[in-house]
Amino acid sequence: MRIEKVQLEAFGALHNLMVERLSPHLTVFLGANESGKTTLKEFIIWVLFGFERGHKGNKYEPVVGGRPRGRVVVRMADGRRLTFERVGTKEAVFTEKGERLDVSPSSIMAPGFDRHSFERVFAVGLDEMQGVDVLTEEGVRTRLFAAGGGLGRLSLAKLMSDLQTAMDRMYKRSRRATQPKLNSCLSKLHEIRKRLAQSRSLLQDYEQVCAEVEDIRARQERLREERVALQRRISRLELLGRMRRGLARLRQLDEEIAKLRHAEQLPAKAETRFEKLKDRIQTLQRELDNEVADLTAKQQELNKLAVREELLQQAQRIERLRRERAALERSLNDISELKEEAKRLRTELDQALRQIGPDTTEALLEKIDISVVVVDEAQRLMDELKDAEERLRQAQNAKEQAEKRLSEARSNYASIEQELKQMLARAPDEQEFRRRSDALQNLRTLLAQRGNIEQSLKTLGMTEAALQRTQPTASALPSWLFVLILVVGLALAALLAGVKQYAGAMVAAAATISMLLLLRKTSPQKDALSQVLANMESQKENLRCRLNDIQRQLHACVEALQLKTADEAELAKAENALQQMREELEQLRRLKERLAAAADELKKAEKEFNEADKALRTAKARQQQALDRWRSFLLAHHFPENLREQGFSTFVQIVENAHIKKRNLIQHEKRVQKVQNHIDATTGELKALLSALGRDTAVTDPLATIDNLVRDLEEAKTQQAQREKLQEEIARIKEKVERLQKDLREAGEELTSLMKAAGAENEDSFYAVCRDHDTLQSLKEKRANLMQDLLEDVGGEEAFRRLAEEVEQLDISQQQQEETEIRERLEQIEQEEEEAARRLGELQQMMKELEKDATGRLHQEIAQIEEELREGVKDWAVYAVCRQLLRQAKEIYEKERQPEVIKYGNDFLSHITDGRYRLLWSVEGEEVRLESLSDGTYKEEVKWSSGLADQVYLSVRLGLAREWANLAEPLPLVLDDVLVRFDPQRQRACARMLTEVAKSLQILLFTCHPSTMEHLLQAARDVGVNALFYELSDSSCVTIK
Amino acid sequence: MEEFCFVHCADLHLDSPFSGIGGVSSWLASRLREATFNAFSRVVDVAVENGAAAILIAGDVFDSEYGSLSAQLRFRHIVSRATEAGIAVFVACGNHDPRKDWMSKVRLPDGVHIFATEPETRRLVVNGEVVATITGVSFGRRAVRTNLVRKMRRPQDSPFAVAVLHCNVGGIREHDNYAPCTLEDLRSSRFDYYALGHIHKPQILSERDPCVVYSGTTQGRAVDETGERGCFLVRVRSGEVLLQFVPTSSVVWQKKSVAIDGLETVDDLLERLQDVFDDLRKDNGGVLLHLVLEGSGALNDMLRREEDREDILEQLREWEEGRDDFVWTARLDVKTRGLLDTDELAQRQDFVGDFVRAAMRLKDDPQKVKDLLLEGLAQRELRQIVEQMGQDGLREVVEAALELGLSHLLSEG
Repeated sequence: MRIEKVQLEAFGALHNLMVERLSPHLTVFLGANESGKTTLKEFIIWVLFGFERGHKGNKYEPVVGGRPRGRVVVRMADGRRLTFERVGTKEAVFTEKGERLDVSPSSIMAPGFDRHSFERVFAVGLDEMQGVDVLTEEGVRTRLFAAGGGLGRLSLAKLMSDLQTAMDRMYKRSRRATQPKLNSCLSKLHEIRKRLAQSRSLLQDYEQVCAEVEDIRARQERLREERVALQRRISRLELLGRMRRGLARLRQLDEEIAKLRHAEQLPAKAETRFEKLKDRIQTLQRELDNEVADLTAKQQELNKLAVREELLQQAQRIERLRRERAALERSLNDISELKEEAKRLRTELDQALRQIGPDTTEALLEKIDISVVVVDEAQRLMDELKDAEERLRQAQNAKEQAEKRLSEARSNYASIEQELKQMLARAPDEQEFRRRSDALQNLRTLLAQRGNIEQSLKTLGMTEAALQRTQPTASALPSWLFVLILVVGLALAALLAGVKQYAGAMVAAAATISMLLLLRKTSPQKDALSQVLANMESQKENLRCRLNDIQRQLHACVEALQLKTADEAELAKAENALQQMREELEQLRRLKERLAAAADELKKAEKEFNEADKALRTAKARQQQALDRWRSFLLAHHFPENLREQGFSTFVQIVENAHIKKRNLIQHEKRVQKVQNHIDATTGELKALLSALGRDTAVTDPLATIDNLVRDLEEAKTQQAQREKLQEEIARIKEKVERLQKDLREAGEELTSLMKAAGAENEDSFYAVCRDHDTLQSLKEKRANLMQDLLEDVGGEEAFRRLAEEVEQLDISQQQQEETEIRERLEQIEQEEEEAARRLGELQQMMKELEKDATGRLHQEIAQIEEELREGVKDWAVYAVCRQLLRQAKEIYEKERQPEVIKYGNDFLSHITDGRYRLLWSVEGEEVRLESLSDGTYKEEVKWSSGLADQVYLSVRLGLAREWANLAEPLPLVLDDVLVRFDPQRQRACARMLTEVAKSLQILLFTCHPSTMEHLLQAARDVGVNALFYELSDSSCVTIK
Repeated sequence: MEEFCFVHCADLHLDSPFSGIGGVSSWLASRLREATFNAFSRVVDVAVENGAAAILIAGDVFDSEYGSLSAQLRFRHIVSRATEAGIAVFVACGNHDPRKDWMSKVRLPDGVHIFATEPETRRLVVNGEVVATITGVSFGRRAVRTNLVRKMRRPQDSPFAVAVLHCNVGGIREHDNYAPCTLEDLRSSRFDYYALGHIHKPQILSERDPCVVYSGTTQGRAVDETGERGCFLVRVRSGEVLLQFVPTSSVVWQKKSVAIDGLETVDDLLERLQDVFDDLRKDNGGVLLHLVLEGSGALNDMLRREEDREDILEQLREWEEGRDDFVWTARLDVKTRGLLDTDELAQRQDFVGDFVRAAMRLKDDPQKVKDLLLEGLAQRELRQIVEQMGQDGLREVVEAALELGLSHLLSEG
C-alpha cells in the first residue's frame, strides 16, 4: 500500500492541510521545530489506525473546533485506489467511485495488526526505535519474525522452559530433593526396602519361636506328670486321715444307740399322729352337732310349701300360646286396615275398567289381547299405514311442484321467443360484416407496405448521393466503403423481406454481393462504384413499380369500404362501424342459444308433471289397503273400532293398568283371609286350654287372658323349684351326719392302738417314750451317713477293711511330715507351670505377629513403585530427549537458518557499516547478537555505541518492514529523524540505503535537519528514485524539490 | 489299570508381587495380593471336584527371595484341603523355592511329599491299586545348571510313570536356563508324562509318547503374561492321557491396542475405550489391561501431554474402582502420531524440519540416547531403568519426544 494524497481537515493545530501528491517511493517532510511535522505524522498514522484503545495522551483536538477529521488516499498493492477517512472515532473506507466499504482501514491494510505494532515497526522515531525487544513482541513475532522460520507462534524459549519445568517436576538430581515425582518414588522405595530389610530375618525368627514353643510344651508335659503323681500321693495320705477320724466317731455312736433300745418298737412319728387324732375327734363332734340342727330346720320348711300342679301339666300349651301372642297381636291390629285397603283397590279397578269403555266388565277385560305378539302386529300395521300416508303426502307435494315448474317453463320460453323475433328484425347481415372486415385489414397492410417502400427509396437516394460525392476520390477507396456497401445492401434486402417482397430482397442481396465481387475483381475502385450506382438505380425502379401497384390496390379497398379517402380518420370511422356490427351479431347468437335451452327445459317439465300424477294415484290406492288391514285387526282383537295408531299405545297402557289393578285386588283379598284365619285359630286354642284348666272359657280379650295364664305358670314353676331344692339339701345333710359318726369311731380306735404300742398308760408317759425314739433314730442316721461317706471315700467295703487295718498300724507324725513336703513341691510345680504358660503365650503372640507377614504387601508396593518409576523415567526421558532435539534444531537453525528478518537486517547493517558487523539471532535466548566480522567476537548490546545501536535498530526495522512486505500488504515506513546520531559518512550510507529500500517500500521521512534532506536528495538522484520533498511551515506544506 | 486323574500345576509364586502396574489403589492391592492364593485354591478345588488322586506341583510354589512367611503358611493351609480330601500332593522344588528354603518348622500335612534333591519315586495308589509312580527331583539351590532329566529313570514296574521337575526344555531364552534339557532327553528317560514347571505360559511340548507339558503359572503377574493361566487336569484311561486346561486366574492380563484415528475429542476416546472395556470384561474376575493407544489423529497432541494423559488414566481407573469385574488399566502406552507425516515434515527447510531430522538421526543412535539420559540421572535405580530400556525402548522414547515436540511446534503455528 502506498499513500498518494493526504487531506488534513482538522487535527490539532493543523487544519486544511493538503498534500496532493506523495511519492510512491520517498517523500521527505522538512520542517523546523513546531512546524507541524509530528502533527502531520500523527495524523497519517491516526487516519490509518486511529488511537490505541484507552489512549490517554494528546488527542489532537482541533484548534478550529469540531472533531479531528481528514482522509488519506492510498493505492493498494492490487491496484485499488481507496480513501481512508476518519472523523473523530468514526472511520470509513471509500472506493474510487465513492462507494463506502463495510470494513475498517486496518482490516484492509493488516488484519490483526494494531497501531502499537505498526508504530513499533513502521512508524518510528529515535525514541521508539530503541531496543530490539520489538522482535519478541507477540504481535510482531507471530506475524513476522518467527513465521519465516517455521516456528509459527511458538516461543522456543518458552517451550524449552516448559520442558525444563516438566522435567524438574518429575525429577531432580539432588538426592535430597523429595518433591519431584521420581524423587518421591525413590524415597518411598528406599523406605519400604528398609522396612523389608528389618523383616529379612522373619523366617529364622519364626523357626526359633517354633522351636522354643516345642521346648516349652515338652517341659509343661513333664511338670504335669510330676504334679499328677504328687497329687495322687497326697490324696492317699488325706484319705488315711479321714479314715482314722471316721472310725473313732463310729464307735462313739454305737455306744449311744445301745442306751436307747427300749424306744425302738415305737412306730414312726407316733407323737405327731397322737396329737392329730385328738384334734380330729374334737372337730368331728362339732360338725355332727351342727348338721343335725340344720336337718331339722329344712324338714319343717318343706312341709310348709304348696305347688299348683294343674298349671305345670298344661305348661307346654301355655308356652305355645305365649309364643303366638305377638303374632296374634299383629293380626288383630292389621285386620281392619287390610279390609279398608281391599275396598280402595276395588274402586281403582272399577275406574280402570271405565277408562277402557263405559260398558267394560272384568270379563271383557280378559278378552282384550295386549300380548307382545299382538302389540308387535299392531305396530307393524301402524307403520305400514303411516308409511302409506307419508308416501301419499309426498306424491301430492311432488305433483304440485311439477305443476309449478311446468308453468314457469312455458312462460320463459314464450318470453325468449318474443325477444328473438324483435332482434332478428334489426340485426345486420353477417356476410356483409365479413367482407367489410377483410377490406379494412387489407387496406391497413397496403398502407404499411407503401410506407416501407417510400422509406427504402429515400434511403437509396441518400446512399446514391453519398456515393456520387465520394466518386472523385474513389481511386483510393477506403476499406470502410466496402463495409458500408455491404451494410446498406443487406439492410435493403432485410427491409424488402420484411414487407414480403422476397424477390426484391433477393435482388438487393445479389446486387450487393455482385457489387462487392465486382469491386474486388476489378482493381480500379472507380469502376466498382459506378457499378454500384447502376445497381442502386435498378433497385429504385423496381421499388417504384411496386409502389404503383400498391396504390391501385389501395384505391380498390377504399371503394369497397365506401370511404372518401384512405386517411387515418376515415379508417377509424370504418373500424367503429365494424365494431358495432360485431357486437349486434354476437347478441343475436346468444339469444338463439337461450331459446334452444328454454325449449329443452319445457319438455323436461311436462315429462315430470305426468310422472308425478301417476305416482299420486298409486299412493292413494296403497293407503286405502293399509287402512282396511288395520280395521280388521282391531275387530279381531276386541279393540275399539275407532282406535287409530296415534291412540293405540295409550289404549294398550290403559288395559295393562287395569290388569295390574285387578291382580293387586285379588292378592290383597287373599291376604285378609289369611290374617282372619290366624285370629280364629289362636282364639280357639285359648278356649280349649281354659276349659282344660277348669276356668271360664268366655274370652273377651285373648291377649290379656294369655298374659294371666303365663304369669300363673311362672309362679307354679318357682314353687316347684324351691321344693326340689329343699329335698336335695335334706338328703345331703343326712348323708354327712352318717359319715361324721363313722369317722368319730375310727379315730377313737386308732388313738387307743397308739398308746398300746408305746406301752403307755397315759398321755405323759406316751410323750416320754416318743422323745427317746426320736433320739435313737437320729443317732442311727448319723452312723449310717458316716459309714456311707467312708465307703465312698475309700472305694468300697474291701478297701475300707484294708484301710481300717492300715489305720490301726499308722504313724501319724510321719504321715504329716510327708504331706507337708509334697505340698511344698506342688506349689513349686504350679509356679513353674504358670511361668511356662506365660512364656508360651508370649511366643504364640510372637508367632501371630510374625504370621501377619507384610512382606508380600511390601514387595507389591515395591513392584508398584518400580512401575511408577519406569513410567516416570520414560516420561522424563521423553522430555529430556525432546529438549535435546530442540536444542540441536536450534543450533542448526542459528547456524544455517537465520530468520529472514535478521537476514534482511544484516544486509542493511552491513550496508550501513560497510560490512563491519554481522547481525545474528539466537533462538533460545530470543536476542539479537552482533558479531564483529573483523575478529569474530560477539558484541553485547550494552557495549554498542548509541550510533551503532541506532543503526542496528534501524536495520532490524527495515528487515521487519521488508519481511512484512513479503507476507502481507506492504505498509509505508514513517521515519522521524532517525539519522541524526549517525556520523556524516554513515548518514550518507544510510540515506542511500533508505532510497534503495524506497524502491520497494514507500518511505515518509520527517526531519528538521536540512543536511538529512540533502543526503536523501543526493541518494535519490544517485539511485534514480523518484523522491518528493516538502517543507512544512505556518501550517502549510510546500513542495521544495 | 484303574482309571484315575491328577492335577498338574507349577509356578504358583504365592504372595509374589504383580509387576508392571501403576496407580494401584488399596482396594485393588488387596485383590492382587490374594490373587496367587486364590489361584492355588482354585487348583485344589479342581482336584477335589474331579476326584483327582494327586496334585503335582512342578516347582516355584513361592519366591524364597521375597522371604514371605505367609506364602508357606497359607500354602500349608490351602494344601490341607486337598490332603483332607485324600488327595496326595507332590512338590518338586524349583529355582525360586529350592529345597533348602522350605521351612522345617512349618510342618506340612501328611500326604504332602516334597521331593529330595536327588530323584526319588513314590507310588500313587487308588482303591488299593498302584496306578502310577511319581518320580520327582527338587532344586537344591537356586541356580541348577545340570541336566536333572538324565538322573531320572522310569521305574521298572510302573503302570504309568510320571516325572515332576522344574527345568528349561530346549533352552527357552525368555527364561533362565536352569536344569537345561532337551525333548530328546525326556524321550530317552521313557516316562509317560512329564509334569514340568518353569515356563509361565501353558504349553504342550509333546502330546504323546511321552506327554510333555508345561502347565504354566496359575496366576499371571507380569504385563507380558497375558491371557488365561491355570493348571492341567490329566485323566489317564488305559494308559491314554487326556489333557484338559483349567483356568485358575482370578485376575487376567490383557493387552489391547486402540486406534485414535477419526477421534476428535476426549469424550470420543473415552466412549471408544468404554466399548473396549465392556468387550474385555470377564464375568468372574478382573482384567489388568496393558492399553496401547496408536494410530494418528487429532488427539495425538493431547495424549502427548503428561497431565492430560494422567487425567484420562485417572478417568479410566475411576470407572473400575470397586468393581468385581474390573478392567484396570495397569499400563498405558501412547504410540500415536500426529496428523502430519514425519517424512514430509523432514523435508521442510525450517526449524520444524531441523527438529524432525535431528530426531531421526538420534533414533538411529540408541547409545547416544542412553548416554544422554544416563547423564541426567544420578540415582542407581533410575539409571538401571534406562539401562534396561533396550534399543527398542530408547527408540520409542525418541519417537515420543518427536511427537511431543511436533505437538508444540505445529499446534502453535
